[in-house]
Amino acid sequence: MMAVDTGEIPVIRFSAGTFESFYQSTRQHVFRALALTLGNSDLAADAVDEAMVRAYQHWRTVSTYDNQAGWVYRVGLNWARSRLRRRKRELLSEAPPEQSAEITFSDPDLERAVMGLPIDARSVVVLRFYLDWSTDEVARALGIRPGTVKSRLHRAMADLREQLGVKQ
Amino acid sequence: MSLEKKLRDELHDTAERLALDPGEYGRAMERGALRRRQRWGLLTGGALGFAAVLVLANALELGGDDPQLGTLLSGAPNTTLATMPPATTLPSSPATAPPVTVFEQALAIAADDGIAVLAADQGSTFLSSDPFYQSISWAISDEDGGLLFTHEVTPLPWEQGTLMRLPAEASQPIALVAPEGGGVITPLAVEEGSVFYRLDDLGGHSRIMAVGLDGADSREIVGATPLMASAAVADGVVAVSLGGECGGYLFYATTGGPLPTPEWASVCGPGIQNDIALADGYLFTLSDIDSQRQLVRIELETGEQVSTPIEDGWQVEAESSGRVAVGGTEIRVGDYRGEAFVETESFLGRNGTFALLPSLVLAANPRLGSGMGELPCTAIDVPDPTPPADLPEAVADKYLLVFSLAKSCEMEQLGALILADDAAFTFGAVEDPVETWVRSARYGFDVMSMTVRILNAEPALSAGIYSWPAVHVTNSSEDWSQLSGLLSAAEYEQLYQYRDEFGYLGLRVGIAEDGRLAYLIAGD
Repeated sequence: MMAVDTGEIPVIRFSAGTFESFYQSTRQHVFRALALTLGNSDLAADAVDEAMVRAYQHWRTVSTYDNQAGWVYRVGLNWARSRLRRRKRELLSEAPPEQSAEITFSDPDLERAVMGLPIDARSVVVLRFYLDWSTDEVARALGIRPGTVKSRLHRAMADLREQLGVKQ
Repeated sequence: MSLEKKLRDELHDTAERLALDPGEYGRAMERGALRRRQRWGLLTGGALGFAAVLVLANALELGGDDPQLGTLLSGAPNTTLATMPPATTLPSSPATAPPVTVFEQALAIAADDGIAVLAADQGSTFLSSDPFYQSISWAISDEDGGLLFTHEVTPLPWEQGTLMRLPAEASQPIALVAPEGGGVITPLAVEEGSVFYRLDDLGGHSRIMAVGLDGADSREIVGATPLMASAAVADGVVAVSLGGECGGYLFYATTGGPLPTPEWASVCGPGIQNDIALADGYLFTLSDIDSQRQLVRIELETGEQVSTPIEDGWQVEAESSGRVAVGGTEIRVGDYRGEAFVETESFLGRNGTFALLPSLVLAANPRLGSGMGELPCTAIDVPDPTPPADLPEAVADKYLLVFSLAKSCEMEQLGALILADDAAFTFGAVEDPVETWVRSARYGFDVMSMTVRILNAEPALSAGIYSWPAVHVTNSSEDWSQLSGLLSAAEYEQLYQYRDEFGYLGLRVGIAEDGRLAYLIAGD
């Protein structure tokens, strides 16, 4: 992993190379991004491992991608969402409290607001503000247009401001 | 502090507190290796000296011929998939009857890459689905030596979500019923020649339906029910558990109509979130009692409950003949007739939903999907075109090659060409060109046919890449006009509506001046 100093918080970048080096340098960060997105660290841990297995299986192709970590994040996110759908019988009466409680912010109001965002919006927020990826990088990772990233981010921030009573 | 700054700080601080166990690399790779080998799997029959061995056509893939994998896994436990299952190979008739493999009491696990059949002594057989539709979502016994199952992505020519049956000794599945309106089918159990299944519609309601094992006599057993958490069928009874703030259980006869709700089940309480199972007049579920996960048995008539602690991670997943299967990293099957769960058999753990199979009779080479021979592609019998005279030789060669492969629907070869040339073929995360094209065809877009047609258009050169059709580069009226003669009116209209905003976003082929295939892609 290469950290580029842009001020107070390092921008997280991932280096290409062998699968093992990719795995070692990327897994923790993608896990954290998935945990923040899903609000559940157990599910995120399973998701990142599943995505890494798929990355290994198709490393010849994945290694050619500009944003390999983005691919792993996306595969993990899709896998987790699929798993949640499969288990939706358990979730029909809303997500079990312990799932959302697993990820705890120091600011409970902010936690409530972020976890209240739709998962598509949360994924954009996490990739943008946790992994510090550019709009284009987020777009490639999620397989959506940069314009869609911008609009989702705009809406998400508006929602957060409203929830938190923060003025523009 | 701005909201953006606060958000960034909070996400980083929270993330710092999240730690993942290190040192999982070898285990993850082992899973990948196992999956890869299972995909090309091996089916062996015969046990304890019985001679017959059935080997699937591509068993040669098992040789561990991946050098990188071999290096990575050196020293790792040797995982052998060729373990002999406890199977009996029936003597084949002197005529043409194919050999079959008989399993007594096994476990079927529906997984991403097919169905694993595990026998009690931990032997295994792997049923590979169509390589482009590898996700099996559920599999249960048809109680007659065969399987009932659903795919997450159903192969053509069947409709998405179709409930399939692989009868005993059959080499191909048959379609029983497809969900109307895009719903999801989950098979529950077979009783008296009918399969009972749950049908979740897109509006959040669930029904319990039944259909004969021949696909006839479809009927509704339980009408649209919101917040249906789980359902089970046994001994003429359908049990449904409900989520929500006032959950509970409802009971129906498998012949249709509600049964009286027992007093114990009519009390409004917190919704049930765990799977339920029915067997021998009892309902089984899980519950947290005294801060411990417990397997609970409820007598249907009296409501009397007994429970026994179980290990974390176990789930009630399936039942058969009065036995309850529970699983975690290892799947354990046993009796729960008294006050304790008595394990009778253990199976190697594997991810996926699972069900007990009282018996399974497999043909030598059963398939769960449509098969390579039925790839959705329309071969077009047209002569190869003459490349434009001013094309560089390398470009002309590649142009003719792509045309020829697309015309004859040789997706595998064209896919290999795309990977070799590192050509762009999708904007999504799908990593295999053929899979991309098959999925496209699944939704009515035949990429091969379209490739043949657009290669009949004039190309345009831009940034060192020859692009077919030229309209992708020029967006000119003249080139749009030429395109109209190659596409159907509906196809043309669909693309033309975006002309002013985006230009041509349909399928295009790009070949670089050095002959490298640069892209074969559609969309934006």
